[in-house]
Amino acid sequence: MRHHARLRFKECSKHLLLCGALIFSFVPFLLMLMISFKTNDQYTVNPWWFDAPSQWAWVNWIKGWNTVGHYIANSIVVAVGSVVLCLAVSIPTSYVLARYRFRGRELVYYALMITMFLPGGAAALVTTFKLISSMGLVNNLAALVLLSGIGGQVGCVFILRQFIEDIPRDLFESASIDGAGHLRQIWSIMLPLSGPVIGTLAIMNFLGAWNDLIMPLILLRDDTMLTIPVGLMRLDGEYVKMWGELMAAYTIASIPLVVLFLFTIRLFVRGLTAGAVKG
Amino acid sequence: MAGISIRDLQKVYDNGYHAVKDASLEIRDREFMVLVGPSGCGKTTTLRMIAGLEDISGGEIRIGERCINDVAPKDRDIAMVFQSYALYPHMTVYENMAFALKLRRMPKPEIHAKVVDAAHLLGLSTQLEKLPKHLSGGQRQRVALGRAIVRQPKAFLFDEPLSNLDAKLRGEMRYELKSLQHRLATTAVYVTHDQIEAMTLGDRITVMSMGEIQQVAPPTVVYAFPYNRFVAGFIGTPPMNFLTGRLARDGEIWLCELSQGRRLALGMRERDRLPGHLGSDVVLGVRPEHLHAPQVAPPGCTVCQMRVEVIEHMGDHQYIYLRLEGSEEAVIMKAPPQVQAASGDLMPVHLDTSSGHLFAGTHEHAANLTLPQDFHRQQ
Repeated sequence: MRHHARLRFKECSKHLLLCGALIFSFVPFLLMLMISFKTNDQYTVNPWWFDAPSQWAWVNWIKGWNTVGHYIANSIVVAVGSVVLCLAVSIPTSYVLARYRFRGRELVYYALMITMFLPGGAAALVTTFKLISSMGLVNNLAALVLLSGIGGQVGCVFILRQFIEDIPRDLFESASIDGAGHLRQIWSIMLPLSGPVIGTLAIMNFLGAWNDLIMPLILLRDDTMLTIPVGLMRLDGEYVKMWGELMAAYTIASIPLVVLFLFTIRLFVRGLTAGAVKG
Repeated sequence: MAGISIRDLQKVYDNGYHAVKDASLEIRDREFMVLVGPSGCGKTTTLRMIAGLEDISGGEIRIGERCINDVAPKDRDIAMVFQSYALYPHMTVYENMAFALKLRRMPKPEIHAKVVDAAHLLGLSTQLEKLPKHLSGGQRQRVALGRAIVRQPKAFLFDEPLSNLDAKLRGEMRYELKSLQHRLATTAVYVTHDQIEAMTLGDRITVMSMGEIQQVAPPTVVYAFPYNRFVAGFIGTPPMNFLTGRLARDGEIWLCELSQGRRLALGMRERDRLPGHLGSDVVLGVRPEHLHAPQVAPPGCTVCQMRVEVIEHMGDHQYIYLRLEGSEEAVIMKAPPQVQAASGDLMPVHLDTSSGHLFAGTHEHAANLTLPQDFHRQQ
C-alpha cells in the first residue's frame, strides 16, 4: 500500500509540474487572444478575462489584418526561399561528404563546421551589412533569403551527413548498379529515406527565418518590404498603444506557424528522434 | 551472355592493406563460379571489383571481350544480389523490380511484362504491391533475385546472399538458386564463406586465402585433390584431420614418423615428389571418413592407438573425437552408427592413408606432395 501511495504521489507531482509548465506557456497566448477583442477602454476596465461576446471588438482583427497582411506575405517569401536555398545547397553537400572518400574530405567538413562556432549575430553585423550593401541587396528580400539560407546550411549539413551515413551503403551501390547516377540516387534513394529529417530541418530553418529580427531590421527600409518581426515592432506606437489592434496583429502573425506546426508535428517528432533507435 | 576474365588483379587500399594479390581467373560463359574463403580473404573485394564498386589497383577485368576496368557499374551490364538484399524500403516489390528498367527508359508495358514474368518465376505474383518490410526473409531474398533477373544481365554477382536466412530456408534457396541459374543460363559469380554452399552450388569453386587464389576446380576435385593444406582444411565438414610428423623411408615403404616414435605407413599412389622431402617435417592429412573403427575397417589401413574423447551421434552416422595417446594431436572419425565406443576407450584407429594427402611442411599453405604429376592449380 505504501508503495502504491508513493507511486501515486510521484505521478501526481509529475502531472502538476507539467500542468504548471503548460499554464506558463499558454497563459500569454490566451491573454493575447483575449486582448485582441478589446478596445483600449475595455482593456483598462477588465484586462484579465473575456468580455461578453456581443462586445467583442472584431474591428481590431480587420485592422490587424490590414496592417500585418503584407508582412506575413513577405515573411513567407523569405522563409520559404531560405528553406529552399538551404536544402538545395546542403543536400548535395551532405551527400558528397557522407558517401565519397576523397582527399581532404574531413578538412572540408570541419572547415564547414567551424563556421558554426563563429559569432554570427552581433559580431558580424557590420561586415554582413557591408557585404549585402556592396551586392546592392539592401532593402531587398533576396538578401534575407540569402543570409538565412546560407547561414542555416551548416547545421543542416551536420545533421544530414550523419543521417545519410546511417543509410545502408548497399542501397546506394545497388542503385548505382541499377543505373542511377548521383542525382538520381539523391532523388530516388536518399530523399525518400531521409524525409523526416529533411522535414525537421526545413521546419527549423523556416522558424529561424520567420523569427529573425536583427537582419530584417537593419537591411529593410520600406514599410512594404518588412517581415513580421520588424513589422510588429513598428506597430508598437510611440505615444498611444492600441492594445487590441496590436494583439490581433500578433495573433494573426502567429497563425501561419501554428498551422505549419499542426501539419508537420508528426514529421517533426519523428525527425528529432531519428537515429535514436536503429531499425 | 559472356564469360568473365580476370588477369593479375590487385587491390591495395589507401592504408596499404593488400586485399587481392595477382588474382587471375577465367569464368566461363554460363558457369556458376563460387568464390569461397574465410573472412578477409579478398573474395568480396574481388566481386566488388567485378561489379565496379571498388577501384582496381592493378590488372584487368573483362566481361566477354570488353575490358571494364574504367566502366561505371551501371554500364557493365551486370546485376548484383547483396547480402543485405539492398531492397529499397520505400518502394513496393513491383517498384523495386522495375527500378532498373525504368532508369533504362524501357516502355511501361515492357517493364510490366518483365516484372510480372520474374514475379511468376519466383512465386512473388501476389506480393507485388507489398513493401519489403512486410515480407519474410525468404521472400525478400526472392525480390532481390527478381530485381537481378528482370535486367537480363550478362552476369549475376551474388555477395553471400543466403547468409541472413535460417538453415532450413538456406537449403531451399540453394536449390532454387541453382535451378534458376540453369534455367536462365547466365554466368554467375557467387561469394560465400560457407563451404557447403560452395560445394553444392558451384560448377567450379575458387578457394581464396589472404588475398590469393589457392585453387580453382570443380567441387569434387577440390575435395579429393586439395592443392595445399589450406584448401584441404577449409573444404570439408568436419575438416580434414592433420597429423604432424617427419617423412621417413623403410625400404620401399614411405613412413610418417609421429611423436613418441609412432610410425604410420603411407599408402599414397603418387610418390614422385616424396624423395625430395625425406627427413623433413610433413603433415599427413586424412579426412574423417578415411578413419575407421576396427570392426568396419577395409584392408590395407595403418593402425594407430587413440583415446576416445567425445562422441556426437548424427543419426545415420556418428563423429568420434579422438586424441593420439600421449600427444596433443586430435582427430575426428566419421563412423557408421553401429560402431560401439565410449568416452575414455582406447581404440585401434585404422587410417586409410591411400586416400590421404601429405603436405610439405607445417605452414598453412604447404603444398600437397601427393597430387598427380599433371595436376594444375586452376582447372
